[in-house]
Amino acid sequence: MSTVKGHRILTVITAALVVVLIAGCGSGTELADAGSPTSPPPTVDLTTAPEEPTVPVVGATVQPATTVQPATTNEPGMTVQPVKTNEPSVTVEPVTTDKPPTAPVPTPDLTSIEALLSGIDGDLGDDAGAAASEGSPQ
Amino acid sequence: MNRNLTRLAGTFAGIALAVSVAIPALASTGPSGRVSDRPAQPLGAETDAARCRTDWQATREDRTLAKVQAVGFCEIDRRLVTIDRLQALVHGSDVLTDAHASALSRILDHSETGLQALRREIAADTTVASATEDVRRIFTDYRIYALVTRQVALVRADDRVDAAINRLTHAADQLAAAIARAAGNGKDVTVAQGHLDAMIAAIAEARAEVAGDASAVLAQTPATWNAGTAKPILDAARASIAAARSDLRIALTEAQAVLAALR
Repeated sequence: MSTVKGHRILTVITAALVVVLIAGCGSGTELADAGSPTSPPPTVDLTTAPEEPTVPVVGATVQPATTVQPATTNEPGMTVQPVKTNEPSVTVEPVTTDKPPTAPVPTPDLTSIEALLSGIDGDLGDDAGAAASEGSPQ
Repeated sequence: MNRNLTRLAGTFAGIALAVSVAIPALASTGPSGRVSDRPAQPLGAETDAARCRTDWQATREDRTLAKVQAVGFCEIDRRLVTIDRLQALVHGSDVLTDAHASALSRILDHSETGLQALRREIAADTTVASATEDVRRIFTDYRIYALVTRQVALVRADDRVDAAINRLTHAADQLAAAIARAAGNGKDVTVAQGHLDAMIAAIAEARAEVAGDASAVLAQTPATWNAGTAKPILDAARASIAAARSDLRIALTEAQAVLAALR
């Protein structure tokens, strides 16, 4: 009887041990993974984001804000086609502005020169303070 | 037997509890808990002369071999930290020419290997006299602060002057074109042209000020420093760089005046 009771106690404690170990290791893994380089935080992958559908520019009427959406009806095989009309072809050209008669003269980059002059001040400061650190054999 | 099993199970349970508490605690040690292999002190505290003051004081009070060696190690170590910083400045510089960066790197590498060898010699010294002589060589054979640090600073400044001269020259060309355009449109450009002439003259003065400075500075060695000839050359280079900087400041102001006159 006492042997059976001992075995039961041992079984219960062993089960508790396993539960405690699993809980401990599980929480530790979560904390470690949170900052691990192998599990980066979720980011939005812009490179795989669906591109805006382009509007056909030849042989189609261009309507403002026209976008091609996936078929939303339950009809099988239905595809969305650009709306075609009998109007003559319309070609969309990039908007261009009138060029000035001559190109403007570029403005000199004086800001970077200012930064260089500030750097010279820093170098001269380093030079001034260097010798004081030499010390001498005493 | 049952009592022993119970005790054994209790021990396991205790270990399990300890482990379950310890694992999350260890896992939560973030970057802030990382042990650094570099001193956390600010750079000045690592390298200035005051760092070894205590060792020098101890040596003056009781001149034993161990104390002389300790002061030698301190003086060498702060120089090695400084050389490390200077190497980073040279390698990471975007103003040094390739030739000047190579020349400074050679000086720094030679100083580093020499001081490391001298450190080993001091460690191997067996008498106060030989250790004292080796400690003296830390100063006379290397001149890390009086010469090498100044060489890096002055050559960097000199190359910055050259870079500023090049950019201002390019800016002067652009301003000359702008003046020509304005004149072609019938604008009176007398004032603008006057400022441009002053700008070009200031650039020429700056160029003349620093001609040959970098080569003269790089040619200096601990031996020329000890002979007393290096310091006047470094001081003269410093003065000419400062004068060139003033010339360039004038040139920059004149450039801004040209732009204002053209508006």
